[in-house]
Amino acid sequence: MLLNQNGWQILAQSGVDMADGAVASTASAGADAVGTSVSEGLSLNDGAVVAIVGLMIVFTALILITLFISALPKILEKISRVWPEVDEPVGHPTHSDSLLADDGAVLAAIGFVLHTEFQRQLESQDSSRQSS
Amino acid sequence: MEILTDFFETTGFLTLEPGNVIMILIGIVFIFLAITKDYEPLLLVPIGMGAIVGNIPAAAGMSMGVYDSGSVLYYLYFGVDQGVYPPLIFLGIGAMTDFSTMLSNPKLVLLGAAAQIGVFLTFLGALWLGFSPQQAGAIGIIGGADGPTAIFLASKLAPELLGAIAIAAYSYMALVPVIQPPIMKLLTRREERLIRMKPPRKVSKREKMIFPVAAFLISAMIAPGAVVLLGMLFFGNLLKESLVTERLAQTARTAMIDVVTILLGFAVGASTQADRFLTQDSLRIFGLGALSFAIATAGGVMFAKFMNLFLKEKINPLVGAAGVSAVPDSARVVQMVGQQEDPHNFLLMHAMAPNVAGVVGSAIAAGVLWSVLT
Repeated sequence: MLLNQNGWQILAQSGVDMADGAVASTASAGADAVGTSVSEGLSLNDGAVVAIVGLMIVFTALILITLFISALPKILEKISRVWPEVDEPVGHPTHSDSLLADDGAVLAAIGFVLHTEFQRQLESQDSSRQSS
Repeated sequence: MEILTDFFETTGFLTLEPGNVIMILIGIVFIFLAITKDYEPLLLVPIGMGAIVGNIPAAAGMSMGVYDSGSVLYYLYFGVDQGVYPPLIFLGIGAMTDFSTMLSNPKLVLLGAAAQIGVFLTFLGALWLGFSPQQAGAIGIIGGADGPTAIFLASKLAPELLGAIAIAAYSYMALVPVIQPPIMKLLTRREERLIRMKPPRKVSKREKMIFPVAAFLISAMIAPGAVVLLGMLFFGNLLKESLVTERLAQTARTAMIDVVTILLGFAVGASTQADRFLTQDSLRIFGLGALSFAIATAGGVMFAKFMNLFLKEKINPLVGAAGVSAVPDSARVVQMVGQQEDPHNFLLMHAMAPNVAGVVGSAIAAGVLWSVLT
């Protein structure tokens, strides 16, 4: 076994659920002892155990994430047979979502059209007055 | 006249200590580097200005500094001291991060784990130098190259070293373009640096939506100490990828992260008061931090070379250097060093995979150290 008992206790205290039953059995019995040793100062040997176990935990988590990511396309392929993926976003745009950066240009265009229309109406009114 | 004399005695001209002058100069150097060299300006400007503000000595009886209960800076520092700001930064980072490259090439995730060797070897180094286990854990996380994580863990394990650790972490993050390239070149041969990698595949929206929830469950179950940081990181990413909360994601990755960065940077800078910061411990922390960064970089590069022994499609080992989680600077450095050998080799996308994996890895490492050392 790579780790000594204290190492397993430290590992167990970190909340890792290992398949090895020894971890669970030593965890409760050794928790107090570990608490004492950590507060009093770890020896370099214990520190090395913490370092190795810590690195192993990081690797374990990221390996599991890697395996999950690798399996995900296959899982989704099976799911998509029942529930096909659609390209459009599910959510409907909210009012503020529709206020995009180009709204200014749209408002300017509306303003221009209104202005032109008012000008045209004024001109037609003037010409009708003159003719009358 | 007596009033004028009394007032003059309270001014900085009489109360300023040489240590304060040194810290003010360091603050000015940070600002100078940020403006002229563009080294992490979003962090170094607030930290630099904070250092200047924090080192103006307060008049007797006035409550002004971050350590003076009731002062404004004390309340701003509360977010650092209690580890409130780092998870909020992680929320913003999550809302910015695109995990596509990681999802398209999952084996690169392992490089993010390999780089965490810097954290644990530095932890050992700090123990050897006589730091307490808690302090050693907080110092070791500098090797994760992740400022918010370093601040979070230091606030939990060794608040007395928080200023030095935060400054060391952010300084070395700013110096990634200086520290990493020599190590990367030293550990790789030219033909390795020329390796071109297959373009990443297109990742479906469903993959991107499922990933944050699943990755959080996996990592948090294994390292519950990382729940806060990883919860916020993946929550931010879910806001981005769910496509129905774009407004929240937009706020998290812009206004919110900016506000928190300003408060965090300024408060950390202001905490570097000379009497607390200019100590032998700080010098040792800076030394260990540099070592930590170097080991993390080397760890990533060497692990990529190790993986190449078994892989048909080789990995460019430079990509391993991005396993330190200085996002996106270390990925940019990989791109830069790769293009020095072959200007048509684009490694940035590939480097982003270990880079974001490094963020997750360093948060898990922090969670493990927090769980074990408290």
